[in-house]
Amino acid sequence: MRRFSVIRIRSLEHLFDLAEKGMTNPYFLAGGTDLLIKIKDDLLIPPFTVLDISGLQELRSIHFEQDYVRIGSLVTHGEIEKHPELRLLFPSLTDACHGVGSPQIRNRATIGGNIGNASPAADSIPPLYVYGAELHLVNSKGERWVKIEDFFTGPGKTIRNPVEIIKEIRIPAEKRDYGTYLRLGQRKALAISKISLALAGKKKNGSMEDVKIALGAVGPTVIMAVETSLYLRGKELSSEVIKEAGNIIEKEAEPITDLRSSKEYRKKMCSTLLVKALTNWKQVA
Amino acid sequence: MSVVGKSVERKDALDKVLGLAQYVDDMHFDNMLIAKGVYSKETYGKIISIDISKAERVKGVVKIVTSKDIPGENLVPIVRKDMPFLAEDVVRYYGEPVAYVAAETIEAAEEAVKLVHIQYKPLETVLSIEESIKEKAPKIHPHGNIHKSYKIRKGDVARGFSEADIIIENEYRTPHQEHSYLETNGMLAVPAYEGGITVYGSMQCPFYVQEGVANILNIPLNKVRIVQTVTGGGFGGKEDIPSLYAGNAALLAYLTGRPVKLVLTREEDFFTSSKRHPSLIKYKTGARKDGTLTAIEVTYYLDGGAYSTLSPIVMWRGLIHATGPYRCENVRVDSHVVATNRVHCGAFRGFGQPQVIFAHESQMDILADKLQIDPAEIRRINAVNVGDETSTGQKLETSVGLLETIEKSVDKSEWQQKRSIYEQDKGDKRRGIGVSSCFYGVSLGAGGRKYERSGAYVEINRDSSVNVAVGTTEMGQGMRTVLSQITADALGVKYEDIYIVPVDSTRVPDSGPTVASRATVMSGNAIRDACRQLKERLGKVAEEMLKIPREVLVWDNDEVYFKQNPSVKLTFKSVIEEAYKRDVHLATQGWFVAPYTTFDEETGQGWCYFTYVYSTNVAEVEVDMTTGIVTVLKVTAAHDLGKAINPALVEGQIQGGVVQGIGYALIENLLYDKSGKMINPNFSTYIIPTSVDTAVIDPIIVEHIYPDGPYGAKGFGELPIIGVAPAIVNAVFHATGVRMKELPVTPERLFSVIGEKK
Repeated sequence: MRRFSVIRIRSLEHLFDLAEKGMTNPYFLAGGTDLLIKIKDDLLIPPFTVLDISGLQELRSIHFEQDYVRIGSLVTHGEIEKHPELRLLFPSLTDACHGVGSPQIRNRATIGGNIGNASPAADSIPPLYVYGAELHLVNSKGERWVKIEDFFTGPGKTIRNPVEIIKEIRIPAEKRDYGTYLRLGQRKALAISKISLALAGKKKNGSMEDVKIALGAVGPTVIMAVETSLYLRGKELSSEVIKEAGNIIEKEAEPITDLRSSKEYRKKMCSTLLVKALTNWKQVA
Repeated sequence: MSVVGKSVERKDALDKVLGLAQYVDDMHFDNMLIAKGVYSKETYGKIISIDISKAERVKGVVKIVTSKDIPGENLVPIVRKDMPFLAEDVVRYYGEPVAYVAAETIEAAEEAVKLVHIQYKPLETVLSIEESIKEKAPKIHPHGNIHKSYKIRKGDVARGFSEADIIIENEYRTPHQEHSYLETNGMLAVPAYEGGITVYGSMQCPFYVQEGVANILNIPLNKVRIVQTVTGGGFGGKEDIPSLYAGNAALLAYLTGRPVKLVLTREEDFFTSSKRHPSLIKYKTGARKDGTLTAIEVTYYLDGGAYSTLSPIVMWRGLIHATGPYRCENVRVDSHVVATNRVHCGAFRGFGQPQVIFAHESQMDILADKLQIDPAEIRRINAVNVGDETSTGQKLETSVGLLETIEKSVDKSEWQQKRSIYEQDKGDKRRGIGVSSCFYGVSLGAGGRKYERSGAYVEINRDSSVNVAVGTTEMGQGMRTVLSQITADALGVKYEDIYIVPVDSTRVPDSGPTVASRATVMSGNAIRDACRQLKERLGKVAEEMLKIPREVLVWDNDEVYFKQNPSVKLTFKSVIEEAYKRDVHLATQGWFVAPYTTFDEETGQGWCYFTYVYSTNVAEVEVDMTTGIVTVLKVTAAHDLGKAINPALVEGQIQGGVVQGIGYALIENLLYDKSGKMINPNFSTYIIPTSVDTAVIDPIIVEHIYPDGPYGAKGFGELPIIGVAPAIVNAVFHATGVRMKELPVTPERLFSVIGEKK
């Protein structure tokens, strides 16, 4: 293992002060469940500095406001999955957080870290797409709001500057009729998703009005199944519609073959998971 | 008050639960150096040069060894000597050890490892069984690509097939499997006085390690002392390769005069430790309409990897069991273990059997389906019983519980009802129930005849507590507990008064390896031999104290009493006190040599193992037809092991074996890239089952007493994994109508076949 320095960040001001002075290759340590593995595997290019932000209490809370729910970036997957109000509003997100790793990992791993790590297979990200989340990015020079789908540029790559911190995630407080998250892994728990699907939708007069679908692990970033959503708009949840939607989504995904699964299987499973999600919706409706 | 047959608490339970157990990595010596390996980054290549000059200049580096520094023989002594401690002029797999660094700190050692510069000339690689057996395949060893071949010839297979009403012929494939023990391999070598050396470490076979260390250092065995530290799992993975790690740690300690600790990271362990052999099996079975087998013909290939390690005897065991626990008069089996440029394969729970049993139990299932016979029934029809012969012409004389395992597992699992209920499933989720039967020859048998003896040293202290030293090891399987129970009953004392001392090669003579489910029978019988001698001596003392002939004295529950009148008695303690006063020698060696076994290489016939254990597994699965995901609902596993010395430990072994079997059947898959580099060498990418992936497990203990075993025991440990995968795959067939002939049955594979069928 490499030797490296760790700075425990006391406040955002402390972080901004350090940033102003300049740092070589800073990496944020939130839960550490991804970062420590990268350090151990020598994937970070030395010299680098670890900025331990895990003590920043201001990033640990969840606020419910009129228009938005604001989730601090250091809120853990465990806190999200067990949160009753979040479960009511964003079931796809709480389902997704529940499926991550093991209880130990969920108790450490933060949602901000999951976003910052930018894995196309990250579980919390597809639900944030379908719920239209925005990220509050802050650095010493200022702040900006970024839509989640504008944040990622590739596997492990984002538009974030090295000393820019994801302060919080803001999700429109809008109640949908249905939300779900389905994933397949190489085993039933403690597995990285080999494909995942988040879906949230509303109905109006018996027809689907607004259905958002995001797919994980089938492209360099999470992708929205735009064509499929367009197709579903205004339609009733019939077996024929569900089947056709399954055919459309298969064409939208561009997965690859890797350690965890094959291109062919992933394509087919986009369809299978969508059919499962829509069928469940039909049954609960 | 016998403790044999009771589920007493494990001896090591509390230490392990409280975190008190000392593993090798917990040990420290003053002045100790840390070792790190330099592992080949080439799959198959000539070593042009090794430059250690930059690495040597790293601050804190004390010594870097390459093959040139070895004073002894640069070959690890296993079955046949072909694996070097350190590669000399050729590397034959990615990850092969080329050099070791000893440094003051782990950071310095790691830094130096990166600076050792090795130049290779790449050679054309061989990465599969198919490639290896091609006529024009590059030769990996001077002797070619066949590590070893064995055969069985019995009866006349041509006649057997001509008598068959049905003949089925199929090919099966199975993958590597990694042992996934909790503790990675590790050794700590400490120079001793007068040129001796002591090695502490995680291992199954201290006497193999002793020979390895003596070999690399060119010193006699009496200068090498091996002490086994608490070992966090082995499953066969710590049988062969610990000799290599110990040899290299000892070499560094010997050359520096300082203690040297070498503990592997998980990745290093994946790259360099032996795996379960991948296989390719061509299997032809002939049967009459009524299901009786008429002929079996098998060609069995194992991928032995770059070095042969234990491959010859792994394959031999597979060969002996290739026809399953069934009567068949006409048998022809050819088996070959071949070399490839992948990691060497060695021992893994089941030892060459799970592969070929997957094939024969699939064949039996296909036969049943084609002949419209119930799959459990076709096994019953052909099952061996007392008086029947194995494929090698061995007559089974006692303790054959196979039929009872079939009956009990079938009854308890409600086989008949579930067969018909599950057949009603027509939707996306379909359930199925499948069965497999198998047997397992206990201990090394004729394949390891020269190791078929074990010693024990039993000593009664003046406070009447008892020490026992044996040469077989505890690796988590429960040996210390079982042997304590055997000692307690043999002396008539309490289980709590028995202490099995740490295994140390200086305490008992070479007792062979701790493998092949042999510790209970071998060390157990050696302990009983020692206890017999001690009781003889104590009998004389008690006889004089009670004035009652020792022939009618009973030793039980810390007392000795008159058989006809139990109120005439002495405490064990008082007899010991008296014996000490009289200077009676209360310590002795016991010795046990396994019963007769033999094998004729020409005919493949012989009395291969002194006894066999038997099992039947019934698996129930649910298959999601839309994803190809198989969920194992329940495994009912009946095992005949002679006598369960500790039923709770037996059930634990069954549960562990089932879980490992689920991994083998459905999940575990070691992957290589095109260059021959292993690409998933850790637990984030090499996936093994979690508790959520397991099933309801219903263990059933069947006891057909084996008269020559301690208290009728035959040995256990390996059997539970062996039949699990075929039972699951047969259940998948029952659920889906799809026959999978390659493991693991991943969703990707199953879904694509279901798709083709649609």
